[in-house]
Parts: sequence; C-alpha cells; structure tokens
Amino acid sequence: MNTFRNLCRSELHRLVARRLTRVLLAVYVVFIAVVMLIAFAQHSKDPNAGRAAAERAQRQQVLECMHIRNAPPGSGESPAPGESINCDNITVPVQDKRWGAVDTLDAVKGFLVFGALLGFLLGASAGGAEWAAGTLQALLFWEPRRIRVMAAKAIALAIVVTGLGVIGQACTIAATWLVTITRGTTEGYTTHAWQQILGAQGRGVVLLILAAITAFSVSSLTRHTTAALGAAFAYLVIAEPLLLFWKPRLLRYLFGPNVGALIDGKLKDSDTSIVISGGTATVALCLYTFGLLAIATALFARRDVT
Amino acid sequence: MAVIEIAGLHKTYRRLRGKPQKAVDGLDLIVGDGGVFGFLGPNGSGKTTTIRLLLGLVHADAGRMQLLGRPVPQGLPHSIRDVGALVETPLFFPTLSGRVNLQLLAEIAGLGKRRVDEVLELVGLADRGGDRVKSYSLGMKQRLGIAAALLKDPSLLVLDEPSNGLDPAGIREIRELIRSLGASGKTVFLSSHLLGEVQQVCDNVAILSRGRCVAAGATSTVLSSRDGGEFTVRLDDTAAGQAVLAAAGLTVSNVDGALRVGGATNAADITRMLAAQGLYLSELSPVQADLETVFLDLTSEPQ
Repeated sequence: MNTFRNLCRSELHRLVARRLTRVLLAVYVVFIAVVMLIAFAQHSKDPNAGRAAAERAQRQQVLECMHIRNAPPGSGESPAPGESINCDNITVPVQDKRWGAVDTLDAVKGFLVFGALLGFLLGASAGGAEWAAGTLQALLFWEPRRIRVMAAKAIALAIVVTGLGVIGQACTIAATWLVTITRGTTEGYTTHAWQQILGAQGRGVVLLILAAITAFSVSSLTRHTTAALGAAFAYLVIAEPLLLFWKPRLLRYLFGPNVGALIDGKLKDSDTSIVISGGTATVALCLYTFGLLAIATALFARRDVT
Repeated sequence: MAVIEIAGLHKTYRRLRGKPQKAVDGLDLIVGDGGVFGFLGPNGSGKTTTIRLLLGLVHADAGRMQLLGRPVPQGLPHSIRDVGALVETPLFFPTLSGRVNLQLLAEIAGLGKRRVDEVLELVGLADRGGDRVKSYSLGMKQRLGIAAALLKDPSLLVLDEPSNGLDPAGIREIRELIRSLGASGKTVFLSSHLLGEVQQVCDNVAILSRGRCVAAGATSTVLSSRDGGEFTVRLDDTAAGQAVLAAAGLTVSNVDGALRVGGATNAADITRMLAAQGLYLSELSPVQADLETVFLDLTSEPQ
C-alpha cells in the first residue's frame, strides 16, 4: 500500500543512489582537504616563526631603502632633489603564523559557502534530472497526488543535504583541529570561540538545506537543471546588484545580504546603516525558500506532464 | 464491469506559440473487464493523450472518465494501485541499474525485492538487471518498462506501443506475454501501430481518428463490418465463370487464379448462377477484411 513514508523512503534512496550526490560529497571533502593542506604548508607551530619572517622582511626593506637613498643622482632610482629618505624607522608588523580559533572560524565560513553552492547544484539536479529523464512521469503512475510527490521530494532532499552538511562540517572540524595541533595553537579555543565556530557550522547546515530546496523549487518551475542554475546566476549576479544600485534600502529584503547575515551571524551595512541579524536572515530566507516551494508545488499540481 | 469508461472527453493543448491543438474531441469509450483491448489510431489521433488523461498526467477540458469504477482524477490515488502503465518510451534513471530503478518504484508500494526479481525474470532481464539502464538497448529498456508496469501485479495493464524497438523474437515474446496476461483474467489496454499484432492478440478493439472513436467492439465484429460482401471463388474454368458472373452485374476480378467477386447479396446467388451454366465450384469463401484495411478505411474517411 502506498504510504507517504514509503514515498519519502523511496525518494531518499533515489537521491542517495544517484552518482551526483556521491560526487558532490567527494568534491566537498577534497576541497576541504586541499584548502587545509595549503593552510598546513603556510602555518607554523613555532610562535617565533612570524617574528623571524618579519625580521627578514624588515632587513630586505631596509636594504632596498638604502639602495634608493644612495643611488647616484639621475640614475632613475635616486630620490627627488630635496627629498630625504629615512631608512632607520622601517618596521614590519609581526604576524602570528600559528593556526588558531579565528582561522578555524574563517575556514568554517568559507567551507559553508562552498557547501551551499554544492547544495544548490544538488537541489537543482534533483528537480531538473527528473524532468530530463522523464522519471517524474513514471513516478506519477505510482503516486498521482502531486503535492505528496513534491513534499516527499523536498523532505528527502532536506534529509540528504543535512547528512551531507553534517559530514562536511565533521570533516571541517577534523581538518582544522589537525592543523591547529600540528601548525598552530589551541590557546584561542575558548568556550566563546567554540560557540562561534559551532554556531557558524549550524547556520551552514541550515543554509545548505535552504539552498538545496530553493534550487529544487526553481528547477521544478523551469523543468531543467541548467535553466535553474542560469536563473539563479542571473538573479544573484545581475538582478540583485541592479536592485541594490536602484534602491539601496532594499538590502534587507534581498537573498544575497540575508545569506551574508546568516553566514556571519549579523550584517551591518555602512552605507544604509541597515542591520540584519542572523535570526532575521534565517526567517527571511525560510520564507523565500518555502514560498518558492509552495509556488512550484501549486504549478506542478496544475500543469500537464507531457 | 467496465474497467475504463470515458464519455465526452475533450482535451486541447494550448501553446505559447502556435495554434491550440485539439487532441481529444468528444471521445466515448468503454473497456470491459478481462482480455486484451486494442486501442488503435494513426499518429496524432489522440491515443497517447487519452492514456495520459486516464492516468492523470494531463488534465481534461471536459468530459467524464472512470478507471476501475472510480472517477478520474478524484479516485485515481485508489485506482492507480491496481493499474500498471507503460506510456510511450519507458523512463528510468540512466545511471542506475534496471534492478535499482524497479526497487525504487516497488518501495513506494511497499513491494519486496523478490517481486522485482520475478518481473525481471518474466521479461527476460534477470541476467542484465544489475547493469546500468544507459547500457541497455531500446528493446531492453522496453522490457524494463513492461516489467515496471507488471510490478504491482495490476488487474489493468495500460501499454502504449510495448513492442517499440523489439526485434521479431522480442515482439513474439511480448505478444505471448500479453496474450497470457489477458487470458489470466487481467485487462490489457494495448495501444499499438502493429496492426497484425493487435489482430492476433486483441479480443476487442477501438479505432480513433482525430480524437474521436470511429469504431469499437469485438475484433471480429469490427472486421466483418467492413467485409463489403466480397467472395473468393475457385473453379476449373475461371474465364467462363468470370464471364457468367460479370454478365449478372457483379464485379469480378481475377486474383492469383481465383475470382474475387463483389456485389453479391449472398453466397447462394453465386452458386446458383454458376451451376445454371454447368460450372461447379471448388471453393467459395467470404473475403474477410484484415485490421489494416479496416483501419485505413476508417481513419481516412472524412468526418
């Protein structure tokens, strides 16, 4: 007997069985690994490593300064007549080359943006590929209630991307912690820092789910994966900047700024003084996402499947 | 009991560009329980649209439909449990195996993996079930589509061109499968262009033209309705026989050494005319129109 649970389970297995799902997870994990390998190479556990590098840079800058100061007039490198050059006060700020909690927070934010892009791709494909292969028609021979079909697909997609998000965040924490203990310091990992890191990760998973469902809704409307990706690109890269240019106060209602506020936990625009909190951004993005899903479902229920 | 009842069905496709296209224009149709029902018509006559309407894929503009005694689309969630369908080309995820594609469908109805293996065996795909669908030939995809339609063990099977892409041996296997399904008490609603196949397996047929049903009933009745009173006559002196019958006002032609006689009201008239001239028959049989002839006659008539 057809039950909604059976339908959801079938959709879940369909998504997990798809090669794209596994490929995107692999891409996510490899991306994290590559970035963290670069971080590993560029950081040092030695707290004086930054000081030594700064001293080397300072010596080099002093040599270059003296070379210019002592250059014969008219050589092209010599200072302008009357200009005095002081090479004694050159200082280079010392950078801490150790990987720390702040670096981890920045890395988490970067990875969750990349994860959201992959989630968008998976969501767009989850809708578009079904239309391209025609499997949606075959599915309707088993469950003709289209609202149930869309709901089951959205739920299955949310479950799969949540799983992928959790795996991605676990990889992120594992990789950043590995770099911390081999090329950094655990000093900055206070309770507050962990709250910020884990909070960003949680918001990242929420963003991933919303991105995937938004893309699924758009591809259900366009009935094509690439059309959905094109529409998203056109909106984010062309329409939103134009809208912001036309009326800067629209900022609080647009996707991009709300996504930024969700990632950072807060967005404060210096031009308009508009502040968007993480909570407001989450509510706004949820409204947009589920609004789009409702429109896509209503149209799917009305349109002919040919 | 009728498994399919359609009355006054209308469907027009409206496009953004171009003129509206009337696909079904006041169709009335009743399909009884059990056996194989042939659904025939030239391209664009509305066969596939009718099937899509019945299965809830497209919405009717007007008319009434019932599937297994329940109205469409309101009762479709209940009646669909007992309906298996293959519409045009079978549609599966190309990168998943045939078995996984079927398992995903079976899961919706809570069917087990054993049933999947049974239907793969039934359509001769047991050995290739684990291969990706994109590696299948057109005929194998068609078999997989039939397997998907059989998965629910439905009492009504809707098959739209099930022999597409099959080689002669495959066509024969599918014909035997359809025949056995019809004989087992299921109803097979078969849409096909292969009129010879339809004539061999269908107990009843309906012929569509321009979205309307132009003939329906038992296959033998539909065929005899177009017999036209022609007879095949064999006798020793063919030339003399032709002269006698032509002189009586009948239309006579010589076809492969036998006479094709038209215009006679009954066979006894022919016997009497020839016997009166001392000509005796070795064969006298009515010429039965084949389905192709009937189909072409009906679908080329102006309406």
